[in-house]
Amino acid sequence: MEVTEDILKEVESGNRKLTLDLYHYSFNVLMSSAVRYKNHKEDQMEIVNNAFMKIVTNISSYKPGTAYFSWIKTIVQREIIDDFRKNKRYKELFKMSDSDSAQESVVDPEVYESIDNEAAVEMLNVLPPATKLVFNLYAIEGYKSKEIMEELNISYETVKWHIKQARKKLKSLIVENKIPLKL
Amino acid sequence: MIEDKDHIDDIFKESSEQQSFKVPESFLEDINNKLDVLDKKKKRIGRFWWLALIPVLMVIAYALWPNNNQTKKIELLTDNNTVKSSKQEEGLNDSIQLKESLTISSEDSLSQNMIKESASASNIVVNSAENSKTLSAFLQEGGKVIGDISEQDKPLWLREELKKQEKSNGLTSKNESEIVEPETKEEAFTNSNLEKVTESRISNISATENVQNKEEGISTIVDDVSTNADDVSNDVDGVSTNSDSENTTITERIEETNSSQIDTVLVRDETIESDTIVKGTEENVATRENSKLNSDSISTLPGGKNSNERSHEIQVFGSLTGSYSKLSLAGVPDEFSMTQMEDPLQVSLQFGAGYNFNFNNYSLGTGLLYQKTGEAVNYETNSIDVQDSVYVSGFYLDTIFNPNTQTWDTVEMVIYDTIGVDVIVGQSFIGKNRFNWISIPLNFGYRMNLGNFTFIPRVGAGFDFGIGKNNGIYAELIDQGLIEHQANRFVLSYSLQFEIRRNFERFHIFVNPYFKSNITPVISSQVQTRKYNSWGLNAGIGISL
Repeated sequence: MEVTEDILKEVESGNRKLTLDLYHYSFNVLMSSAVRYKNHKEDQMEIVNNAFMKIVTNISSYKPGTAYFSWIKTIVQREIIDDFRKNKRYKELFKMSDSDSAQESVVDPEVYESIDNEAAVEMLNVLPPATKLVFNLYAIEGYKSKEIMEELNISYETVKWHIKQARKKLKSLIVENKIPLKL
Repeated sequence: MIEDKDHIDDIFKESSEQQSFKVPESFLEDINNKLDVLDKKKKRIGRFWWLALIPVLMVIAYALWPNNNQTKKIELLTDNNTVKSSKQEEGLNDSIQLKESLTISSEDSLSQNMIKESASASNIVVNSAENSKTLSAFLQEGGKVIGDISEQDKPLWLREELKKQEKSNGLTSKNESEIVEPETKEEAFTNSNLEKVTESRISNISATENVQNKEEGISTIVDDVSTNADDVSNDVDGVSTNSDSENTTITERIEETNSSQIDTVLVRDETIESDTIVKGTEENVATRENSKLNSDSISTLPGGKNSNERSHEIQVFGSLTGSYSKLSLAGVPDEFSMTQMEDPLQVSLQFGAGYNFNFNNYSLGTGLLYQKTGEAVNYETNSIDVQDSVYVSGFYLDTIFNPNTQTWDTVEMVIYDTIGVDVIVGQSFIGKNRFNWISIPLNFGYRMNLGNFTFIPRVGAGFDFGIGKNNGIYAELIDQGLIEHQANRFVLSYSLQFEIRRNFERFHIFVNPYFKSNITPVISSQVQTRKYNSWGLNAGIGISL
């Protein structure tokens, strides 16, 4: 499916069939972001569908021919950040603490070529919510530390600390072999 | 080390890119519901968008509306004893066509006589519903009848007549005529000659004149003139002849050339103090009905304005307006925690300009208006006092008050102790949510005149278009933090107004208490629906176009 100008017009005018086609077309990108941040299916659904509603209502601002998936990825990321910020105590989640800091891994993780998708999601879900968010934004979405700092209204040190914590934890999970890994 | 970190990041990045998902049914069901809501919203907006075109169409319709009120007014302008003519009187007989208009205004007896002569010659009928009197008879009674009219409001010719009457016991007509001072160069005749001619003309009047003397006094001297084309010619002949004999110059002023009517109306404040305007018609003169003329062709309204006239005016105004929100909850009222508001009435400036199109006593108005609505909110860290309870056991003492360490019986009683607990919230907002609007009002009103004042109750609709960011911050649900909502871009409102104005010729000043209320919501979310009421007192100035 190619997102052409005709499709955009039909979606804008409320053509339900084409809108649902677009939903199916976009679902993979939206859902792959949602599962990395939310553990429960209902929460994932809320993120995906709210993001898609924003896509539909702002479809006129998309220029046909440009990268559609990048555009909707930006929207779903914004939705995730907004959702996180809805929690009025979200800043507390970023409090740095060494209590749960993981031990440095003793095994070089480079021996592993890749990790199974589901395993990766499971490992990420082990991380505390704030750490998971920062690590996802930094390592997977490609945000810079400064951008994360501005988006979440936290300090640069806090961002760095959470990235470091995430790496430690993920390494330790790999070392402990709690997650099935592919060689 | 750096490579190690990057490798971990890459592992997870690659894994995220390999994922594929199937759309669950529950997801589809939810997105369908959300799309249904969106469709309803679109339809709701689509239902009202055309209303915004109404003011524009009104202006266009007005601009293109054909003006059917083209009438020729023939004003017989007289100033004291003078009948002016832009043409030489010799040429009047031949040159005045039916389509021309002639205006005669009279201020003294001579003028009246000439009008009467004209009426006589052209079979002009002056109707009255109650009494029939000759104009001369009326003039004789004038002093009595118009006794209630202030001296200042009386026309010059009437004042002169009154003066004549006051002096009638001893004065000759010659002396009377001397009271009237000639004011124009065209007066080539002497006062004595004038009086003679006047008296002779009065005696020769043969026209039937019906003077309508209404309950409120004489509000109309002449209600109607019906004539035909030949009569008009005769009329002109008569005027010309009289003018000849009196060495009077007749001034004819043709105001409009495409008239279809010949009317006689009273001008200059409509009634006794009026001048006389004769309008000519080619087709309708003979057929005009007295009854119609009684009510339509001659203005007898206070203020001298015809009842079916149209007028246009523009206004500028401003005020301080107070607004407050009307909040309704959707679905989850028990969980709602956002009603902690202070100072709900917000005062802000509004200003605008308006255009009114008046016809008969009705008024249609539109314009542009800048307005703010909003409320103050206080979402701060809450301090909540709670009561803790403690259960204690009681012990019995023996009779000599020795402590008995063995529990004889246990009585549990609740002891309340008040402690303070701070509920820490991560976000707080103390401030004002303000929404800016450019509004196009569309009003309908009814005008009630009372002297120099006009009262206009109005009802109307407002088409409000949001400008700027128009975001509001609200706490909707417990433990869900603050949410920023954008106001709807278009909101429909209704308004009630009561304008009170003081008229000064073309200008007027006014105050206008009003109440305005949103019909469609400003903020609509899954939790709340928020509309605003506003009220205030507009004050401004207007000018008639």
